[in-house]
Parts: sequence; structure tokens; C-alpha cells
Amino acid sequence: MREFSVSTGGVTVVGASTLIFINPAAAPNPNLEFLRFWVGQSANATSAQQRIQLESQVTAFPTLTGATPVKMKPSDPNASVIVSGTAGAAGTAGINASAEGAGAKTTLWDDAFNVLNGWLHVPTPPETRIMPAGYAQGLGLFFPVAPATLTNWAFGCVFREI
Amino acid sequence: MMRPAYDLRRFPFMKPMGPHMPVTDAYVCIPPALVINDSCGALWTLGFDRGSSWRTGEFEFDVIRNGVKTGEHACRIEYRQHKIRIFGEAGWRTWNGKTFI
Repeated sequence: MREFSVSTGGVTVVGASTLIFINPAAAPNPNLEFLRFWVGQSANATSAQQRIQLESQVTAFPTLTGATPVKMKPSDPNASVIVSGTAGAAGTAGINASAEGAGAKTTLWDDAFNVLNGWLHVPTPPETRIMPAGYAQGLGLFFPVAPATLTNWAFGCVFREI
Repeated sequence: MMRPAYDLRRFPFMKPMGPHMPVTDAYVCIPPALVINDSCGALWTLGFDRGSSWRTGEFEFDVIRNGVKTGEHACRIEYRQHKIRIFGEAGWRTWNGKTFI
């Protein structure tokens, strides 16, 4: 199974913002099954709760820093159908949004975590989230409120193409 | 010294964060936590290498200590009474400083 990660570290976020946004490619490209998400930080040594959401968003999408999905299995001969993009368009991935875009967000998963411990979301197999090819929405990992410390965040996700 | 199992630039959360970070509170469990910082200063997390077992009904991943694989797979890592415990196909086991028993 072809699996890819989009991840980063040492990032300064702008506040309440999208951390990762991946928009499936047009059909008949593969669907995307998201296997895990994580968020952690290494700047703040003080206990604090932080809200986190998985959300889908329709256009207009966030403005992002482009991120190229990296193979989880180095022997995989194929690159992901998802490419780096800064506009959240279909078939692209980006991180650390600088602007959220006007498109409506739908909250899919709402959670909170202690910033000292970070957050790891691994859905049990029947609960993995699938974004079908040609879907007019992207999937985002989102801070609905600004964290107390904006610096040194690490976050990522793993998805497979099915 | 063992080499890290993963590229720590790509997955920096696996890297020990330094002495400024406090020891993790008791009963913290991975997941939903991402990391546990134990009283020895070791950083624990789950890797990406899925085990073959499905007996727990959940994905099991390699158990990572300071970025290095311990050779065990688990679906939970828990910090309790200053001890690291993992839960997987073989049930609950505890870290004795060298291995899980």
C-alpha cells in the first residue's frame, strides 16, 4: 500500500490557523485514507490545554506553504498523486497557513490536548477518514484557537492512496 | 550508540526535547498523547512501522525510545508510577531499563 507523510517541525504558527491542508486530486486518481495525525511542540515547558480540530473546507481554501508528500516506504517507486501547493487546490498539500480563506469549514473531529504531551490521533481501522478523489473539499488539521506559544511546533499526517 | 530508526529532521517529535521539558504526568497514555518524557529523560513515542498483529483490534506500531526502535510493537504506551508500560498483542508489559517484561 502506498503511504506518504506530510510533516514539519520547528514551525512558528500565526495563531488560530490551519496546520496541514490536503485536497484530493480529481477522479479517477486514488482516494486518500488518512491514518494518523500528530501535533507537538518543544518551546513551552508550562502545562496548557490546546484545542485541535480536523475539518473539511470548501473553496476558497487557505493560503499555505507548499509541502510535498514523502514516501513512508523508500522502496515505493511511485510519488504521491498529491503535489506541493500553496493555494489548497485539488491534488495539492500545504502546511502552516498564513490566511484561512473564506471557504466554510466543517468540523469532523474536535479534541484538545496538553501541549507538554502533544497529540496523536490514530483512528481504529474502521474509523480512518477517507477523502474521495474529486471531492470538492480538502481535509485540514486546524488550531481553532491560538496557542499560548506560537513557536517550535511540529505536526504531520500520514495518508495512503487507495 | 544505536542509530535513530527514523529521520529525526522529518519527524522531530521523536527527538528528546531537552532538560527544560518536565517529566510527563502519571497516567498519560500514547495515544492520545504524542510523547512521554520519563524520569530518566528518555522520550517515548510510537513509530510508523505497523506490526502484523490485529489481536488488539487496533493498529500496533513500533515503540520508539529516543528515536530508536525498541523492537516491540504496541498500540498503547502508558506512564504510570514512574514506569513505562506498553499494551499490545502480548498484553501489558513494563520497561525494566533494558527491555519490556
